[in-house]
Amino acid sequence: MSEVPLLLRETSGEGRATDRGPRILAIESSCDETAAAVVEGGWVRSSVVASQVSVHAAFGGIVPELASRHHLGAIVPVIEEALAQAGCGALSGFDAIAVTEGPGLVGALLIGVQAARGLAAATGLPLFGVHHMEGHVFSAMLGDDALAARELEPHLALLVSGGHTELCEVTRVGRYRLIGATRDDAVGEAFDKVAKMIGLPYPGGPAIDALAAEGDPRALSFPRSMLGDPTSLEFSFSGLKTAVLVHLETRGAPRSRQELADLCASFQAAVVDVLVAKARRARARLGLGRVHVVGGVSANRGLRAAMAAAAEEDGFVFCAPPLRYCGDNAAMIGGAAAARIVAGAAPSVFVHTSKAIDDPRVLLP
Amino acid sequence: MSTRTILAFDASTPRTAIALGVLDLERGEATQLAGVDVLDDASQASTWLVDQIMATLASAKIQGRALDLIVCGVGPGTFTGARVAVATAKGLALGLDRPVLPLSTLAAVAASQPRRGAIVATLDARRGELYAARFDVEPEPAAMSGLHVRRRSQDTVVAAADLLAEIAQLAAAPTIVGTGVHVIAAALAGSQSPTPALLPLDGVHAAGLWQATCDAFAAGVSLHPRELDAVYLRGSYAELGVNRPKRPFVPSPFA
Repeated sequence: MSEVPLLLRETSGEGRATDRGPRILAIESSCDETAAAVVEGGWVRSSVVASQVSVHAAFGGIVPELASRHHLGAIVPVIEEALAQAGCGALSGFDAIAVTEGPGLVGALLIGVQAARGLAAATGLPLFGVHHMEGHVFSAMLGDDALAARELEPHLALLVSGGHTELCEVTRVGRYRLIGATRDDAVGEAFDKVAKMIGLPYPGGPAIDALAAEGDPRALSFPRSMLGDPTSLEFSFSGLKTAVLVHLETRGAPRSRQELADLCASFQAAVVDVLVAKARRARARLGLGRVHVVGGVSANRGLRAAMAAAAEEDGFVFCAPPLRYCGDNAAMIGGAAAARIVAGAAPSVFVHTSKAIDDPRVLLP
Repeated sequence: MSTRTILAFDASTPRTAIALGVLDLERGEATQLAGVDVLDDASQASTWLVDQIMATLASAKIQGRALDLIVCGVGPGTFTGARVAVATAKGLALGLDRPVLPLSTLAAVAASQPRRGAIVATLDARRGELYAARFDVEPEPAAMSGLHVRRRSQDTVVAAADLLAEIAQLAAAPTIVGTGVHVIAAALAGSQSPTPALLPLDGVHAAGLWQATCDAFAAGVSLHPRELDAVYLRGSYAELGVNRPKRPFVPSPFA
């Protein structure tokens, strides 16, 4: 089956919703961002995110109970704001509602899902549950005007976030095949935990990335896990995390900003080397011409630069979402739902905490 | 218009309840049109709540847009259950452009039990504590439902021993009802103290929910759905310092 266009480029006349793709109100609440968006196909009409970073920073990581409490307070305001920014007074003229159904924190997921179920029941609109990582796959397709949205092409997706580190072959919407994943920590989790060890604030990824830009990536030698086996597409970051801990226990905490920056740069280089090497290996094996890096860690400047260099050297197209769509957002959920609707998916919601993107419930025939 | 068509639901106890009815404000009459309650030990109310709400509306041939108000049990009770109900109410009310009215789950528990007179409604709050509030349940012809649940104390979270001490000071011994009864019984085990009247109850029932809804309507002020929130009465374990990190966080002076 050929790929399904995310964006239908028939924008004549008044531009009804069906001209550009389904008009969708999308909701995301899987972790610590409460988000709502209005999309038409891959065109983002509005995207509103209420972050809880300041709530969880005091605890050095996400507290699920607090996340749920704050989602409940934020869910209506973000929906109202998304509708207002899109110029929609109400849900008339919409084709569907979409919501992240998992994976994620179950208490957090339930806030978005129950609000979406209530909205769908009240309006009679169909409700589509979207796999969070499928949303990230579509984050690279979004555009902020009707012509900027991209059509989905077959590619290798490197899914990197606080909960996932996966290599996924994307053939078309609803056709995904995981070919590699982490055996232990997700890469974003490793960033957060190492940041905590060295006294950087939560979330750790941006803090390490910023300091890494000032440091020497060769200052310290940290392990590049699971690169020895040329056939392996799996990842492991717990050993790297332990290596940083051992370094701190034997050498003590960094005694200057330069030492701190060198440690960050060395740690980040170890992470990036592994991610890029495995992505190159997987792309070559699959014979794909595109690599998309998506998920919260795709905002990492060191990873983007290294992947761009690899793309130039190996001759593939490298794509990453705009920074505003790297972290959790509802626009990507709407984009994925729009593509699923165009592909003929039936409305359904199944809340789950850990189903993989290539679970039969996610795949389309 | 002198009538109000009201949907109410509560999911903060092991029994999830839905009630639908009409209040005739001119005549001072309340009529329950439909109701259902389900004991849900697996805590899966989220999977069927909205479908059951729609089925309840359909059984009474009431369209969603015919509703004037959505009443939501907001706890105290199970945190997730309260949030499931509140999030559902927010979505329904926003989609229908209708107001919401928060209802104390303990008031609905008090209205769900059969005894009259002084009542202490309780729910098991875990950690040896209870959510509790005192009520007087009285027949009252002037009330729309012919019954009135009069609140005598605010909702609170309290240790079983402290609640028993508070009750001992009352002139008339109340009946303790609800899922907190077994916590009270455990606290009394081996004690020489007189045992108060205990009435186990697995949560909110549909008829009691409707009764409490009538009282809440008479006393309450409706809200925009964005203002509706769950009632916890207790901070998260992280805020309470119950789960402390293995390694304390030491901020870097160079960051």
